[in-house]
Amino acid sequence: MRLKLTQLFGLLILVFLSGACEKKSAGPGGHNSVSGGITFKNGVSGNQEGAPYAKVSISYGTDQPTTSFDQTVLTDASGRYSIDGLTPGHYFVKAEYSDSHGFKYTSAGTGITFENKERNIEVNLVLE
Amino acid sequence: MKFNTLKFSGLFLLVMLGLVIGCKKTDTVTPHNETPVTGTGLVDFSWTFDKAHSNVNWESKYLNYSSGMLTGRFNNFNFNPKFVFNESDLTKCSINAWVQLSSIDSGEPGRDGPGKCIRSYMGVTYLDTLKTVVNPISDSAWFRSTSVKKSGTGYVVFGNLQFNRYRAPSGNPDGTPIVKPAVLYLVYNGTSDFDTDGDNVFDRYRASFSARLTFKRSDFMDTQSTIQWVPVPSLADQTGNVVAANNKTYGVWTMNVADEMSFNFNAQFYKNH
Repeated sequence: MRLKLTQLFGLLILVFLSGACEKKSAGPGGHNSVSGGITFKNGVSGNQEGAPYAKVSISYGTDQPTTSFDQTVLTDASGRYSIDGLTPGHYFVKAEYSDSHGFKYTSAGTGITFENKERNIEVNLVLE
Repeated sequence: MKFNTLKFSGLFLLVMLGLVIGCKKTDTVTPHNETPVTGTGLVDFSWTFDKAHSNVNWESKYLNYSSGMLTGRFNNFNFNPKFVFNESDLTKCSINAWVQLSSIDSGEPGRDGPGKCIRSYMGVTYLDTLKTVVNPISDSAWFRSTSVKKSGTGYVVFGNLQFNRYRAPSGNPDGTPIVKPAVLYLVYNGTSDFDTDGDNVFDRYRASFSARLTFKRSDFMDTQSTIQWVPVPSLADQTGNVVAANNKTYGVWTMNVADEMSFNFNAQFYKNH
């Protein structure tokens, strides 16, 4: 009888642990972050330059290319961005920039998977 | 019994350890590579410039300190030699565009008529106003491309801008062309297939381009020109008088529009098939 109770207790802990190991749905409310620099290939100067005030969009729940995004931030004047407060899970990040001549620059984007609870991942994107 | 408990506890600890190790996974970053797609846009000598559906517009601030824009168009413009655009081989691109400067038009009679102010925006003498330029070597501004580079969704066209037949600011003789490097920002808007005669057969390709060129007027015009209000010649002089036509009185430099001016092109080309 004592053994059965121990077994029952063990099973409960196993169920609890396997539950804890399951990923929560990706999105806000966590402590992970993704940040980096966005640059574009400027045909006028021939250089790769920081993209000021470029749009950086993130999609929750997938690390595959998508056109549906959940959050968009702007880069600073030097092309840096940061998206904070993300839970573990899959994310897809893409950026878009329009220069002063109205030419648009994009990239295919990058998939990210946060397996841990408190990490920063650096994702730099080069837009063409 | 004790042995069983021990065995169970050991197993339990192993499972827990496995779970903890299993939970410690590495974060992953997966860059997706863009597959480069070479565009197929092609306009060559077999295409026809559709002037009726094209336009060249000018734009400049009204008075140098104002933010309000004055706009208008040029009525006479073309390409010579013909426009060539090859998206898959940009070295084959050739853009040689001209506008007849005296064909400047604001749509406002108070500014557009002979002797009115608008031609002085381009440094054009009033006496040139009614001359017809067939293949303009004079009274014209030319953009000639030297190289084309892709930049995002657009194309940067490096080349030279040339104003003909104006006195150079340096005091060069009349008729000295002024040539300076310039950059044209070109967008290829795409090619569509059309049914031109309603027989449900698509028989005409149409290709569309937009471009913008910005320059300083003072780089190409005589800022020292102060010959104000040249008397407007009589109608006979305007239409046929050779002396009047050859009169090298150039437009006065005006600050009615800002030094910086832009030309905006919309060019359409077609090819039957």
